Amino acid sequence: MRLPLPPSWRRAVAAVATSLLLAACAGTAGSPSITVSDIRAPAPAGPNGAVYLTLRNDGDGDDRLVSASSDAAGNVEIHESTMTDGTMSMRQVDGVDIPAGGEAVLETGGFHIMLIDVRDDLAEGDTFDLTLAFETSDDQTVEAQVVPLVP
Amino acid sequence: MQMRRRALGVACVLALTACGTATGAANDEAGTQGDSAVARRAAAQLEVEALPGIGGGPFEGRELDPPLVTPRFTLTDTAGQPFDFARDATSPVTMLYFGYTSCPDVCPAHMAALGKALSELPAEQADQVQVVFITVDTLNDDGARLRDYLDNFDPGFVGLTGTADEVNTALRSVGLAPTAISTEDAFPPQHPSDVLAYTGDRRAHVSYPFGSPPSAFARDIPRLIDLSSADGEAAARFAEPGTAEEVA
Repeated sequence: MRLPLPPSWRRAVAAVATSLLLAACAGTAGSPSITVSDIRAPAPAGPNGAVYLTLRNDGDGDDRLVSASSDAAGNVEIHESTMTDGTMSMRQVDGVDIPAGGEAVLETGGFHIMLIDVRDDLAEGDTFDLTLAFETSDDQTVEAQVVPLVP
Repeated sequence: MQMRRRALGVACVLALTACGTATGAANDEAGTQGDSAVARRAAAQLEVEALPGIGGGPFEGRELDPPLVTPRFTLTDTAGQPFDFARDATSPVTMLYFGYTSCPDVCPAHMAALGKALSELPAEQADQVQVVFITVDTLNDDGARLRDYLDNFDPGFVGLTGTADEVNTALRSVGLAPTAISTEDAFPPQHPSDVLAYTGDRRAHVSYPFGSPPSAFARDIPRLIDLSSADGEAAARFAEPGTAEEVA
């Protein structure tokens, strides 16, 4: 398609089209609003533990969980378990997307916040602070409760 | 101005089309996966229902067709003693799983489900089940660490360690897809997702995929015990590992 426009206008139109395309896909139209719920940390059985939670984004801009930290562990990372042809693998990921108007569910067999060298005195019923850092939203510190391994 | 407005319209359509395509593709993929999972479950259920000799309807677990033969391997238990699976896994039902103690997600979920199921069954049934956990983290898991880990679920669970070669031999012998045992360069290790249920006929007819709840094990264990005792000679065969291949 050739628009009957002077070259400078065509460049302007192309720029507008490109920015609209990026804006529509990246969803950066508004700002995210993240609510954290269903936070639970199964009682650790080995040297590492996991925290599961749900991140709800009621805002109109996308966001992303990019890291987490806690005094309850030597190191905290975001990991994903995946199954391929009957084989389970786990790998560290650099974040979890939380789309505008949607949610990210961290649950067994999918994403989890991994507590590496978790405090070995954590028992069912104990609580500890977990700070979540997002790409756009402010950090949030939430309370995680230690729950039985099988709910 | 008129032209520019039209151009903006084109840009919007382009933007919507581009995003719509991506979303549509993602939905299609999810839909396909869902459908095939449903189809697989339905097929598995039909197979179980059609399997003669297994009473009480389909298993909650997944039927293995053909069943897996009892593997041949010897590893070391948490007391430092050799454990020859074909000789020493003598319970009517043996639940076999490969995992590692620093696995915080899938492994404890599986072991906790088994532990809970066994704790809720009558003792005379629970006593007929042995759980065997083989570590795929041969770099870090030793007998003491494995014992400490398994005691969280049930002090009766058997933990086995070995060299990477020995564990790989065990994996191959079981007939599972090869996985990556831990090495200095490959951590965390991979492991099979299923718990395998071996019965007295020296076969695993049923496996439990990741996510199997305690109720799945609790419902199936009495039937697995029945499957073992349905053949009166099953117990005798355990004492004669050499006959494993002769069982039809």
